[in-house]
Amino acid sequence: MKKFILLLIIILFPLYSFSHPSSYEGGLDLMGSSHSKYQNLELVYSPKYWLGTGLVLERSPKLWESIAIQLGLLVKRWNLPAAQGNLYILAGPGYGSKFNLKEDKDTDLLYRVGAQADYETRQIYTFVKYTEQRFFSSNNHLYKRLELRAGFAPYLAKFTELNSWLILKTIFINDFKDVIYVPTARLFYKNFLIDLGVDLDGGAQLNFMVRN
Amino acid sequence: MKNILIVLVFLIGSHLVNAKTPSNNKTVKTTSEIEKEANAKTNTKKIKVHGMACPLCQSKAEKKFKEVAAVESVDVDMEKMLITLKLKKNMDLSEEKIKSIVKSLGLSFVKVIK
Repeated sequence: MKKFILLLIIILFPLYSFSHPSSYEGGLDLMGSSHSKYQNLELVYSPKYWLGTGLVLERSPKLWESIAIQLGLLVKRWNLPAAQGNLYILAGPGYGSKFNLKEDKDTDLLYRVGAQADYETRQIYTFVKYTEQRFFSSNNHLYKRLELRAGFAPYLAKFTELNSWLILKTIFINDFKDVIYVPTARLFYKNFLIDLGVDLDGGAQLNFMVRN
Repeated sequence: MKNILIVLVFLIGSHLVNAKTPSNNKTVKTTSEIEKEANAKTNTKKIKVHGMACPLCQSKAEKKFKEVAAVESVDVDMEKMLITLKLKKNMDLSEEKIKSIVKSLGLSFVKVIK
């Protein structure tokens, strides 16, 4: 039963590596990540290609959980002949709960800020994202997260063909001493994506995405 | 005088025959000729862009341009960074409109190749 619930949680929290805080005018994206120590789900609507507005749900099991409004602003984009680089800033207020040792909740307002940069060609993908979230209660608990990703596509494919990527994700979280490494294989066809990853502790990941 | 009248009649007659010839051709136009004319009226525009780095960009470009009333079909070539639009008969799409759509996709407009 526990495994079934875990699988359900993993499926409900899709992992989407090409996530941008804003996409194209009128674009709607659902993206997220799932790990035993960290789960995240973002729904982002972009009224302009340089502005994304959305909701972010995050949780770190037995530590804290939150919901926040996110404004993502594209600060700079480099459109190159066969590549694109982006720099974004993120900010927004939220509301969340921090669990104490007795597993009681301290619930209060919080703010969430961050920055993201990425560079991708049709065969190379690099990404760095830093976010921090401060609860006003719970002794001003500050949650900091840094994620680095690097990947490549073994072959070039069109949108109507099966695309494959191999991506290594490296995640630093201040609440945990260990760095999390997740080698991931990604397959996507048209707007459907599936991710298969295994971290170094042997924890499996199964994720999917459907994009509008 | 008689000779002048004969020459005049001949000239007028030949002029009338020549004037009728094109309209006669119209009536005997073949299907392939009609199709050729229709194709000539159908515009295609090739748009050179920068910044298309993943197949999702291709999908976004196709979706956005298909929403435009004047566009019949869209083809995106990521190798050449070209978006080819086939426009509907007797319809056009201004360069300004194309630039605005490319910008809304977050891509850089380079030029329209006609």
